[in-house]
Amino acid sequence: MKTLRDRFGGRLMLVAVALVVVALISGTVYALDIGDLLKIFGIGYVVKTFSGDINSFINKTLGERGAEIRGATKVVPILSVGSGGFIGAAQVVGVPSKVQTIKAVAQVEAKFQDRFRMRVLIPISTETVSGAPKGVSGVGVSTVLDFGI
Amino acid sequence: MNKRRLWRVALALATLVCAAATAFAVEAAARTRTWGDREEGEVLVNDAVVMRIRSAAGGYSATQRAELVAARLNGAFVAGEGWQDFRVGTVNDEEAVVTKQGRLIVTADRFHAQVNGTTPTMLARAWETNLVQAMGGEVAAQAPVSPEVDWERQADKIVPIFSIGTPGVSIGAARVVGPAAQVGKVKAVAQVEAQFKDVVRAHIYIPVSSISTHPERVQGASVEALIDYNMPF
Repeated sequence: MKTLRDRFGGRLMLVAVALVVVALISGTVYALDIGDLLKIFGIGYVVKTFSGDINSFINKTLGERGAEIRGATKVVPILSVGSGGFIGAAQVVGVPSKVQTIKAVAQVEAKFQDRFRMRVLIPISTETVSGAPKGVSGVGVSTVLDFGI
Repeated sequence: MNKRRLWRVALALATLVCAAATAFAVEAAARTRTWGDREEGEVLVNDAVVMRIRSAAGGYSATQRAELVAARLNGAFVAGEGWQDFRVGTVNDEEAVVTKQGRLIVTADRFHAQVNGTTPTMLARAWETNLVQAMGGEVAAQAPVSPEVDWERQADKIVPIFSIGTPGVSIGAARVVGPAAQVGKVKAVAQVEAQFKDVVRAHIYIPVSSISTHPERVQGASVEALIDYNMPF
């Protein structure tokens, strides 16, 4: 007569190994936090990976203050028009069909009268900018996000 | 001996499953919120506010109605229902409902819709979205959507930015854009600071119709530019 060990020993071992593998993988993922990912892969990757979480976080923060947005929202990277690199992220807000097309926010900096500095934030439907950025009407900026490494 | 080992493994697995279930437990709660001289009930899921009940009805106060909604949600959560089962139904022009597996969760009526500047159906959809997001689910095409809010850029205006913590203290200026009627209502931009996972700092800009500790958002208006003034000293 077969014992339980004979019948299920192999399966149990398999389950145990699977559990260990899952634990190891989870441990690795948690060990690499958002700060590490930022250092390794850069802002563009982190924004793409965590855009949904950050978007929900901002909407939750607004909801707690009774300032919910009645429009579609999305988190996208901010692209510096001067350097061409990603320098942060922004939550854009507006008409759902337009918000879906937004890939980045172009930032143009301007100075006037020496002491005033203006950062113009233009939601755009591309991830690169060549020439003057062309904004998407019906979409604006709700939040600017800085990443500290 | 072998049986003992098996029991031990089974016990360990059961403990793991219980721990995981506790970690991912979803819980609804209700609390009272005072808005001016009005009492409102807030429904929370996993500590996130998902809807506000702003009036008494059927012999229940606003808070009691919120507690009723929280109890219905907890009933569904105990039964193991996930975020995928919420549905919105339009009853008539006056009412829409959020249901879960055919059971009523909450009714969005004309009064609440008007307070939120939308229709009962759109309000019910916004509540559904908040519920799904609070449970960690995903909603197609982003969150609370109201077709009645126009975000088209028709006008712009430069207004001061003030910190929501210290109203009256101006910390810069912003150019806001949006429909002319909405931009006309904007008196300032309130700035809220929040930290996400220690690394991401969020500067949230809310176009508002007054400078106070509880400013009201002007829907349809958004920020297009931020202006800093470099102090000469």
